[in-house]
Amino acid sequence: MKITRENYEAYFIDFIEGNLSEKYLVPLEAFLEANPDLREELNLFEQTIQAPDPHIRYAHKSSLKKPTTGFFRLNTYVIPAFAAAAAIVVGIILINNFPFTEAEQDHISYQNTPVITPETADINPVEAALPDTAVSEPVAEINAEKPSPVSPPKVRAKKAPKTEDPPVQPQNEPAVNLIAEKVEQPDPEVQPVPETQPEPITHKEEPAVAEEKLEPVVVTVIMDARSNFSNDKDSSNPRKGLKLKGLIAQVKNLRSISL
Amino acid sequence: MTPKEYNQCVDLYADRVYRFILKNIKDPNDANDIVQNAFEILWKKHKEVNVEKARQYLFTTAYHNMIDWIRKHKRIENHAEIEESAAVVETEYTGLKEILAKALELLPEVQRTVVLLRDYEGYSYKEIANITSLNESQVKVYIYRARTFLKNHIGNIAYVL
Repeated sequence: MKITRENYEAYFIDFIEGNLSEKYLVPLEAFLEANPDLREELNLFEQTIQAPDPHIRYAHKSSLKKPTTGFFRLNTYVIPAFAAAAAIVVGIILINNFPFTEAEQDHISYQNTPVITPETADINPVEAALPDTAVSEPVAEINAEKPSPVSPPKVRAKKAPKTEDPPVQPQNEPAVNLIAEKVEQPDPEVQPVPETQPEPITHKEEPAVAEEKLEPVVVTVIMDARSNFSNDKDSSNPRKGLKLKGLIAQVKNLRSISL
Repeated sequence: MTPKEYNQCVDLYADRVYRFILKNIKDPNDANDIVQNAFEILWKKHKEVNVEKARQYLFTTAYHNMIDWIRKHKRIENHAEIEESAAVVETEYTGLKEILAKALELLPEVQRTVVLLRDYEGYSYKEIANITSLNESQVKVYIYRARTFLKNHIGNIAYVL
């Protein structure tokens, strides 16, 4: 392609850029000879080449550099790695020594729970000491099945036997525990019974029913029977034992009906 | 690239990258940040980057960081360009170098970049294309337009003087 006044700029730029082919060097020189006014323009093109200023320097080279020796590289990589590994090991140890399962938590709570015995619980000693399991077992079953707002006794009555090392308790322990729990957390439905001052009873077989745990009608019957029984001052009366047995049977019937 | 070679790159190229960035954005603090960021990225990739390609990697990274910076400060830069444009006429030029520096600031961003990469670093059109994500023809066109603009600007100022 021939160099003309219409396309000379591209050749000038290629020349100053160092990209002009050798075959165009002679034609370019010939063009400039023929157009001397454009030689000055070629000089202006040459002056457009930028030169970097050597006085401009990056002032923070040291902050960009990285350690190359082994000690500093150890500090950079190995120590944080060891710290992370140590943290993981400590975490595993803590997890293994901390109870998370329900069985473990139940075991710990059971061990921390004071054992309620007839001596410590505020219960009727006669109710707890009755040899007749027919009285205590239905109570346990009914209390366990009866929907009650107080659920812990139900759970504890079922879970306590599962523990590996249960404390030694009387045979009728569930009933005692249930009654003890009921004493600690009285049922709001139970009407408070006015305290009475019964006469001292010397007879061993006299049942002292937990009046505050019974229905009002039962309490009323017991109170009546107790007054009749106490009025009978004759300890040698053979009917006294019959009266006592009749009283117990009457109480049982009333309780079964009321429950 | 070893850490030792990386540190050599700091010695060899930190000034050059900084000049290139500073010439484009004219803010020393932000130019420092861009250079620092470029070297941090190079350090993260130093095991993967060949030492022969480190310079181009640095300029490429710094260029893209600079483009992000320019986009964020576009409005401010445009305002500054207007002020500089007005100042060009009022400036009493004392030398060709200052005239050329002012003319360079008037160039569009991409033309200024390719000219600086060409003049400061002597990159070929192909290398400039790789750094700027352009093709060689675009690079050639931008350089042509930039040279023509600079030549005309210098010529006009010389004519006025």
